[in-house]
Amino acid sequence: MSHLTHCPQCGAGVIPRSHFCLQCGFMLSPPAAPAAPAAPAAVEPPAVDLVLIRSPELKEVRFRVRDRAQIGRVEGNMIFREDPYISPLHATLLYRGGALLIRDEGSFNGVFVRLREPTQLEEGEVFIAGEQMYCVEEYSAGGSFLPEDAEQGVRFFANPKPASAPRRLTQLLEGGGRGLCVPFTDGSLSVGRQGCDLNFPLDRFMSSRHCHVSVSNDKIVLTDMGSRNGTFVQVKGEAPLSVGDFILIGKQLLQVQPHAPHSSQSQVSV
Amino acid sequence: MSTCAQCGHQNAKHYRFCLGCGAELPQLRDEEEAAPKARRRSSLRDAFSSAEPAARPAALISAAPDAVYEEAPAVMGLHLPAALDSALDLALDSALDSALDSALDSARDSALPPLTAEDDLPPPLPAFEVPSEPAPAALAELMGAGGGALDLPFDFHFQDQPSAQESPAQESPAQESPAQESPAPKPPALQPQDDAAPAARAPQRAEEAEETYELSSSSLAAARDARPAAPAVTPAAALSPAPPAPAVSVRAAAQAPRVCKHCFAVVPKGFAFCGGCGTRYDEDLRHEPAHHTPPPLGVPAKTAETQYLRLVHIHPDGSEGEALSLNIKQATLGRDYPWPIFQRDPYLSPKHVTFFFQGQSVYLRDEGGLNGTFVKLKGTAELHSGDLFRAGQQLFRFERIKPGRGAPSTDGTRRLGSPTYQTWGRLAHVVGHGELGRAWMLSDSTLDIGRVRGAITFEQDRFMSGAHCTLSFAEERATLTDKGSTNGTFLRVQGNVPLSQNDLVLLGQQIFRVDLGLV
Repeated sequence: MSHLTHCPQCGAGVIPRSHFCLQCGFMLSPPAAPAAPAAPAAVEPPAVDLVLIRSPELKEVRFRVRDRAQIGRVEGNMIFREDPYISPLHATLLYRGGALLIRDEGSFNGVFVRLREPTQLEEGEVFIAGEQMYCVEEYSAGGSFLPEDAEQGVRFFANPKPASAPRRLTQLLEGGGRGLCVPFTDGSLSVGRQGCDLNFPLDRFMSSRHCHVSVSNDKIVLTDMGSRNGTFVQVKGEAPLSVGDFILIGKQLLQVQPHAPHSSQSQVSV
Repeated sequence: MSTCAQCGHQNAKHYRFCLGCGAELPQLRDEEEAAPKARRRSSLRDAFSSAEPAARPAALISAAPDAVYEEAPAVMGLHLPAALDSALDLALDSALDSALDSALDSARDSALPPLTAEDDLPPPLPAFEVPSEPAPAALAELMGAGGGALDLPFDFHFQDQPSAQESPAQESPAQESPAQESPAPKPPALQPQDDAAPAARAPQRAEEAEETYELSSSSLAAARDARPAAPAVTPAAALSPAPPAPAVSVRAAAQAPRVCKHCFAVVPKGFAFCGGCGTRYDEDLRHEPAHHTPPPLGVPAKTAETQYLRLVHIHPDGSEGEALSLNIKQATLGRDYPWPIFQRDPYLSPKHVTFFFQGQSVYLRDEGGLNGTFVKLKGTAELHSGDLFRAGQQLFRFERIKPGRGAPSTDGTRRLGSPTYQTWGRLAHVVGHGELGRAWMLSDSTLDIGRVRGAITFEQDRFMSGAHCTLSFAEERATLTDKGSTNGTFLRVQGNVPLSQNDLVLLGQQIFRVDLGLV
């Protein structure tokens, strides 16, 4: 991801494909350490690293998760100063009962985890495909633009709500607000770069056929259609993580990987 | 049916003159008139439902012209405009019988009032005659002279169906015959709209199609009003003022029936109201809607050059109805205003809009009611975020989207979400009580809205033209352009809006034409 170009040492932005940080001279482009095969996780908790996924030409950043790791823009031990979408203290990785969990610390934008299998969504639950953010909601979710103290006794002229489409797929825009809204007229909608019900030809991170949402009665099911970059669902409170999972926090994509013992940095400020 | 002895043309039996050659026809005997109604009607229905859509008008006419003409003046439109077929295709396929039945019934009911002791003679059979005066000039003006895409509040999509003006409509005898040499009586609706053309001289001109058009639209509307069960009735049609119940005049009926100058329904003598549109026909009042005249309001203007403002009510069929004259400096209108057209509109606020004179100009000012005031777009207008506009029966809200990521939250975090790329706006379909349903992102420099053509289409909206309007963005300005749609695009206005002659204003569910002048 080209927008992840920050110096791992000082946090300053760097020119893409440059070899050294202009701010502190940190060497940005030594050959990336190959990801080691899974270390035997004999002891509990299993040793994992949190790896920042970014442009391959940039140095790999691994973070050893010992007992817990806190991610934030200001606080915590994994700090992304330059990402304005990350809250001061955003999320915590922790072990509980031998399981690795991620907890949303009441962040403004939430923590997203990549979908492994078709998942049931609740109304209003936010998910991300490509660069786009969506939710499934009822028609009335956006509220009325009419003033609250609207006149009584006067009917408002508008088109009737379609009885067959009580819900819609809504694009949530950067900075707030709703974008594209498409009702579920025949029960399901597909999202992709082309040839789908909702197409985003300008989204470079979107696969041609990316994901699929179906609505039936009270069930909303989100399915990833084998997209390259995956579909992410917002974590409600806490969610278990396992090795290989991808986490999206702000604009940062992180992967849980088995611990690589030769990793030099145990604590980074990214 | 009576066959002319001279030329062999088949005329409706109540015609006194042949439509083919103008010869006087013998009046039919009673027993011939008493032909079984049921048979006529069933043949009418059969013809209507069995014929190909394009051939329906002709089939209907040839099957049972008597039924068409006699029973239901308001249903006359059924056999005339081919455009009706396209409209009825949607509505009538399943409900054909019941719709036709109820249309015939209610049309007859409205044409034939209940007998009273005072008036115990059955009203005379409707025999068409030339209206006593030409159709109002205003109507002719409204209809224009040329292209057929006019300021009617309803769209019958002639421009999308070129054949609609041609074959079936013109094959029907009622169409072609008066346009030929019919000397005296002819179906009233074919009265030329042109003031200069005397009624007796049948003009064979290009405008014939226009006349056909008007006839069809008004008759269609009458048929639609008379057909309560039809599924395709739109909110506007459903809300159109219901024809008042026919009232029996105090005077005994004279022999020759009249034809309503607004909707062309037959208004038998002795009836005070048109059964089709409710226009008052009281002889003593010279067709003026005197009983509806609102009381004077405000302070009369004192200058000699007082401008007057008339708001002419446009019926759902495009014809003009009552007019409200405002001879005062300023008047606030709304549902509180003592004018029935306002009072019965549930979409109108009690104080909805103010019209006022300033200098030599007339302005309107929306009073901030729930539904607001819409003015028909002339050409292009700039759109601002939050603007509402109507195309066909659809209400849209435009929102400008400016590049930028919005203000951060209190802890300095920005809202994550979809990038807007080069999107400049968002168009949302307004549903329910001010909620936004489907919404489109506007990223191309133009976006077309229409019934069949454009990036956004509403195939079910019969009041939207094929290509209706366009949203554009250039030089940081978003604009809305009407593409010559039949029914126009109405933009909700704010602040003081100067009015000019023949502007169309949408208040609640009613459209009014602005008529300005000096007293």
